[in-house]
Formats: sequence, C-alpha cells, structure tokens
Amino acid sequence: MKNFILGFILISIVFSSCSPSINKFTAYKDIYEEKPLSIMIMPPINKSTKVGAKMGFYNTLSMPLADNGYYALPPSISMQFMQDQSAYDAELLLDKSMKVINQTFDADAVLFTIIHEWRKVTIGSTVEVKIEYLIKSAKTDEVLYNRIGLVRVSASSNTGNAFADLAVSMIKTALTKEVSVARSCNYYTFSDLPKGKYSPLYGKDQNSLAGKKEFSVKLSQ
Amino acid sequence: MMLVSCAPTNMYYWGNYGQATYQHNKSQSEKTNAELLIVFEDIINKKHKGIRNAVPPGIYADYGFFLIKDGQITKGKEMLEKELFLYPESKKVVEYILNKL
Repeated sequence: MKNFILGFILISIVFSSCSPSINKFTAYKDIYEEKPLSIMIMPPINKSTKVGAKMGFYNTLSMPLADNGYYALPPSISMQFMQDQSAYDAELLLDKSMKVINQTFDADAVLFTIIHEWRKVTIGSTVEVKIEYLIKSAKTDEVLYNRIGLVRVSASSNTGNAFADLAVSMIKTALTKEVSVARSCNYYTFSDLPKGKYSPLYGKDQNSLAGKKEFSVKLSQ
Repeated sequence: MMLVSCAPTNMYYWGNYGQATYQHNKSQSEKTNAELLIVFEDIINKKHKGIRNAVPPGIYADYGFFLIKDGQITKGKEMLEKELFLYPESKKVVEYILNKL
C-alpha cells in the first residue's frame, strides 16, 4: 500500500507540474456524452526511422481498447477493408471525414496512432518511443481523445511508479521486443481512457483524475 | 486465516494473440497462419476467460475470416455468427465478410 501511495504521489507530480489537475469528465467530456462503443483501428502512421514499426504496432492496439471496455473492430477484417479501399496510408485520411466508416461498419469512432519516434537508447536495454493516440468520432469528426506520450521502456524491474509497473505487469510474457514495447505504451496510455460499455467501471470514472495530454513516463519490463 | 482470492483481474484472456498476429503479419507463411489458428482456438476454448468470462471482441470474427480465407467456409460462418451473437455491434463487419463470399 505504501508503494502504491508513493507511486500515486509521483505520478501526480508528473501530471500536475504544468497544469492543474482535472477530472476525466472535464478532460474527455465528448466521450462521456457520445458514449462510443465500437472503434475501428487505422494502420499506424510511422514517422520514425524504425522499419517495421507500423505492422508490429497495429497488432497491439485492439487488446487495450477491448480491455478498457470497447468493441475494437476485428483488426484483420479492418485491414482487409483498408486494402480493399486502397487506403493503407492513414496519414492521407487523418484530416478526412470518418463518417464513411460509420456508414460502412456502424463504427462510432476511429483510432489513429502516429509513431513519432522509436529508437534504442544506447545506455542500458532501453527503447524510447514517442507515440500520439487520436480517437476521432465517426459520427461528428470531432477529436474525442488525444494523448502524446514519450515513453521509455527499460529492462529493469521496477520504476517506482505503481501505475506504470501495473501496466507492464499485466502483459509480462515472452514477447518480442517490438510487441512488448508497443503493448506497454498502449496499456499505459489507454489506462486514462474513460471506460467503455463492457467494463465494470463504465460510467463510474468521471471523477477520477485525468492524465496530462502530453506525458512522459518510464516503464519497466 | 488468510483469504486468497482467485477472481480474475483481467477483462479477457488473450493467450498468445499479440505475438501470433505480429509474426503472421510479418511472415505471412503457412506456419504462422497455422499458429494463429491455434491461438484463436486457445482463446475461445479457455476455461477461465477473465472478468467478463467472454471471448474478447473481434476474436470470433477474425478467426472466422481466417477460416474462410483457408477454405473452411462453414466453420468460418459459424464463427462470424458467434461474433454477431456476442457483439451485436459487429453486424456490418460480419456482413462485409459474408458479402465477399
């Protein structure tokens, strides 16, 4: 319990250092009002120099959305649709209306991810990634959720940040480095997403503190 | 006396899904395809499926999609129907695949 409180204090310092703390209802008002359930995942936009980051990352996105109570559209079928539409480059779609996705699949929202950086840090066994997550309404085209995280994932056992360690401990398996880093980053970032319909906490988390839109965190594996 | 809780803490059981889909998309070989089908079966047949005790969203649908691509049309359709039963919001996704047959 002591470690949990300490972790909470540390994370609060990180989150409140530049802006006042706000609750999730204030931060994500549109999500609470629109109540999206089904989310289509677009192919990631890779602006990093890491070759292969795109597909490896794509496959890790449906799990954290589902685990937060949402219906993530089946990734393989979604990818087939994108290929059928010759729309594999999500960057070209970022500013376009997503209403066609709503009409085609009844999806309530669309998730875009932008991999800004993905690099190995030479000291220690650490990977540093900067990833932006953007959920757009497929009904109104409004941005419902936007977070940018600078995340360092190291092989060390403990960061002293209880939330960060929890996010990683949930997914400790014999994964390849790429999948493991991506999953750690996704689970940490989406831990701030208001819970969806299938979560037992659906509609009960409005008063929880919201994380900062831009954050940096160290995660351990 | 200490009470030990055996209640699941994760929403769903995913097995080796992340790794298997990554490997399959990377290699697109018969071997990775077969491994992925085994992972789908594992997730579906797992006894303890997490807090919701349900197959995660998209698993029945993607499994059905892979089976249909593999020529196992009847079993593939069964899986798509199971997705629709469990997640009614998948209706148009399921129709999209069925319309391609």
